[in-house]
Amino acid sequence: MRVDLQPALVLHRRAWRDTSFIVEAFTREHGRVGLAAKGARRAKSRWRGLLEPFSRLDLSWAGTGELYTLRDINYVTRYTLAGNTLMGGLYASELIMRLTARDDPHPPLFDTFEALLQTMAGGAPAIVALRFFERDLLEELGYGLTLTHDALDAPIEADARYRYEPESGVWPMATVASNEPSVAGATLIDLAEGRLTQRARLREARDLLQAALAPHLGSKPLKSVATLKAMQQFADTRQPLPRTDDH
Amino acid sequence: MAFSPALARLIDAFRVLPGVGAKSAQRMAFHLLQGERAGGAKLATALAEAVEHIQHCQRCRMFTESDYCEICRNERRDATRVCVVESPADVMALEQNTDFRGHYFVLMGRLSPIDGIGPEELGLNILRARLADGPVEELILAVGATVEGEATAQYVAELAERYGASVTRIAQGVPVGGELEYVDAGTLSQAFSGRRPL
Repeated sequence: MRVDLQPALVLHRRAWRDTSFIVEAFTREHGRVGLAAKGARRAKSRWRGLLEPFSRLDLSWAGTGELYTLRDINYVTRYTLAGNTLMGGLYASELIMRLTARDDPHPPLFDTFEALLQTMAGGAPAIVALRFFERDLLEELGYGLTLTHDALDAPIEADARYRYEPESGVWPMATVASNEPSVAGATLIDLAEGRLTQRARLREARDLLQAALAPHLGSKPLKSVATLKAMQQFADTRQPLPRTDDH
Repeated sequence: MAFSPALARLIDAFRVLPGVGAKSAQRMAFHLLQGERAGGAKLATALAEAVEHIQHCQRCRMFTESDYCEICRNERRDATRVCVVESPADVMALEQNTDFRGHYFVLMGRLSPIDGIGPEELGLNILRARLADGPVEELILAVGATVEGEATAQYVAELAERYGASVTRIAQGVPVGGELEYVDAGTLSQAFSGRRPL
């Protein structure tokens, strides 16, 4: 197989042998591909520095089997993420790595991922952008949430509260116990319409999407989520802790 | 022709080294057996000793035979300045080429969620204990200019801030003796945005 100048976003690359990388790229028309970038780690490689995650490249490759050989790179741009958006980008990459198979094309997901990186590189809050990414990712992989109607096919009402079931969707709740997870109709509508601004609704949307993703992620937790949570703990503690021997 | 069992085992053992394939491993084995038997015995003893006795420094994770490495035990070094690096090789590079005389913390890797490397794998709870024990005035991040290096820097910076340590990161830019037209695009744009007053 020979592919020329395929739009691609770099998900990950790891050192391979002495001078090479193995690159996981998410490409528009060929899905996730594994590419051997031979010699890319040499001091004088013309590819040096290009294969960083979140780079938007046009890639040419050839070969058969699990791993193709990278032939050429045309640099398009790099989405520079920092702070929360950097962890957000790593999280989105980890989701794509986990939930898509190699050589399984998802052009709309490619566009969604690029839009996410673009939005976050432009400074939009990761916490909002990621929710729409998760929504669209589920949709594209065939696990989409129905956000306009409940499990009984009645339209979602903004004032009502709903309970989420992974198999069947959202069910209206007559009464809500305080410790029971539930989501407001307004949150479902906001998520469907792509406008999440209120803090409480953002939190509900995050929990809902997490519950919807969980069955597909298996038992191994996402490392980026654990890292992000640990970091949020630091941020939550505004005051420096007293120095003690108790860690 | 098949090699004798001992020879086959030796060749196979060499292949754990990075960049050593079947051919090189065979060459190394033959070399030792043909004229370097004494050297081979020395190598075997050194290897056995190293894997048995060398561990991580309890304070900075550098390789050492003792509980604490030489740098951490040296009382003339400044314990209030800690330089965070990715690997022992980075410690060597900084020791040889800079006048830094503080302490180090060796991560033995960098934060990379996709590879399953999170804060625990990098021993960041040890660094945290170190910050809590204090006093650390300056934490210097000397990590690579990669996305993983960036994520690592960010994590460590947030951690250090919590304990009131000031955090700095080594500069990135044009190499010494480098001419601008030969500097790659990423480095140049980084160097430009990181310019400083003279």
